[in-house]
Amino acid sequence: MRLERYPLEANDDLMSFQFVSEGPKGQIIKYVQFLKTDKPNFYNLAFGDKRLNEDDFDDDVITDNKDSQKVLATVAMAVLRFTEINKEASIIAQGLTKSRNRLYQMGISQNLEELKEYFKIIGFYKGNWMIYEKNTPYDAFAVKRK
Amino acid sequence: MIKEVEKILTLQDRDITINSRLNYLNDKVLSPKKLQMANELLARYGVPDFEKILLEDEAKKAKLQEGLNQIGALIKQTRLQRHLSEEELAALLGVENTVVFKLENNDTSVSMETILKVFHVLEAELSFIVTLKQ
Repeated sequence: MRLERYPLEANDDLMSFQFVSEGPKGQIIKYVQFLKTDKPNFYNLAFGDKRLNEDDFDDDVITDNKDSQKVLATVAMAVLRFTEINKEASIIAQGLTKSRNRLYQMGISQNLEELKEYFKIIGFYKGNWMIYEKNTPYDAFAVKRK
Repeated sequence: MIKEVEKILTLQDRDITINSRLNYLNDKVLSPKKLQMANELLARYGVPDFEKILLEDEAKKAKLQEGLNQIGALIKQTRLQRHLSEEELAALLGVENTVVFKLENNDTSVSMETILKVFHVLEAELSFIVTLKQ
């Protein structure tokens, strides 16, 4: 991945990642997690901020540290590495809100050419899964290794 | 598993380090709401078949290209029926000669407006037949 990104730490099986965002709001620890869904080989991607002074997560809270492009490139790297180990895995991602979905879409669009080298990318729109194209307001996204 | 992971990371990316202290995260569910949404989406609309989606997209693009090929061929056929060279048609359209070549050989993305303009200049009417899929 050629875009600038943060160094990642991963646990032993690359299901959970951690990195530190740096910006005007200081250092913020962020987590990336791949969770098994009810369907075999489908994993849900989630990422968010570590709660201050607690060993817990903020549910879908992502502080704007003016580094969204770098954060999203870092998350994309985590997806790349997870699917390197889990070659048959499909990763599904969706935001809790439309604005959060737009953020995910921005991350995919910014990294699209590189992502397409490694992944098949689809988007969910109006009840159908389809090949991902820029400028369609998808409700969810999914990727799978080529 | 750990050796395999370390091998891949060592060879390909120095920006990831393995930290076993993060193993505790596997017992936590980050964003249970999103996991629930994902499960509901997959249950309601089914698991996406990537291969099928890719094939359908390729078939759609092939169909579109087939249509464009037909339009290019029609432009050429009509130009010849008007006994015009590519250069003469280009002059009538006010474009470079290469533009006409590209139009006739589908070597460019072309708008409906441009297509209609070409047939207007050739003094020909373009009509469409719509067939509903069963």
